[in-house]
Amino acid sequence: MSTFWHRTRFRLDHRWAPRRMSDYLDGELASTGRTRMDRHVGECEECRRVLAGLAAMLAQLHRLSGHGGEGDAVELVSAVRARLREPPPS
Amino acid sequence: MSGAPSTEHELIRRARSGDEDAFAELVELHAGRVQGALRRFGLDAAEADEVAQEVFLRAWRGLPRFEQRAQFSTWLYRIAFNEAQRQLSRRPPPRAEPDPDGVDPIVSLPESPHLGPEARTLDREFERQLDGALAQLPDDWRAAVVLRDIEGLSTEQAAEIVGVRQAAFKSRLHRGRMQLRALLEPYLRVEEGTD
Repeated sequence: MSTFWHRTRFRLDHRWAPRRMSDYLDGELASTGRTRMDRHVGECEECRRVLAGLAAMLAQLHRLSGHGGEGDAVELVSAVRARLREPPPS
Repeated sequence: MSGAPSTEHELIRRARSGDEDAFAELVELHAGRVQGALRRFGLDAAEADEVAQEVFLRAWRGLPRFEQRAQFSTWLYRIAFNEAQRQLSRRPPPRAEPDPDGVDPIVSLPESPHLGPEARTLDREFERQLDGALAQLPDDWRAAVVLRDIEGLSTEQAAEIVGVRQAAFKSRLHRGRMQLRALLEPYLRVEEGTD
């Protein structure tokens, strides 16, 4: 009975966990949800890999935060200044 | 101009009264951010340069309506997002929408081999692959990931920029993240956990 229950719980958690990984990583999951996620990734290699990958990706994306584009700011300022002097569209 | 650099608040105040020099300083302060966001929203370099000009022109014209209790950069992001969408809508549809009978990035967990190259090489590869991976996302999902995870806005700010409720935004964000993770998996620097 307990094996059946364990398997059933695992399957339910395995469907639930991927949908809540963003909330978990953003700290928006309630404590019961966090406990459930921690328990499941402790038992499921697949979900553990996906969650770790998601966390790694977010860390790498956050390091990009604030990095500007390749365009030339001086050129853009000149172009905008020139267009400010054009008459506004009628 | 005085020797001391003006605060952004002061620049905005002067620009609102018609000071073009002050506005030019604001453009210079935010040029990189706007151009970077436009590229990641899906515009190519030439489009981003052209649309960036349009963004700042609209900002100049809209300054009287800008409420200074909001962040200027958030306001610029909203203009940039809208202008990017306008530009993208002029293109023919580049790719099919996700097949509803196909792989659901949330439910399906793709397998892929774990690679272990040097971390710096991975980071370089990650950045090289990122633009291509972002281009494969549906526009809504891509905008969510760009605003929240790359430009660093809060969920509330980003949802307001794209004009949806926070719950809808979070759904797009999660789907975008999961698909992006699957596309970038070979280039991720995953910490080895202790089991």
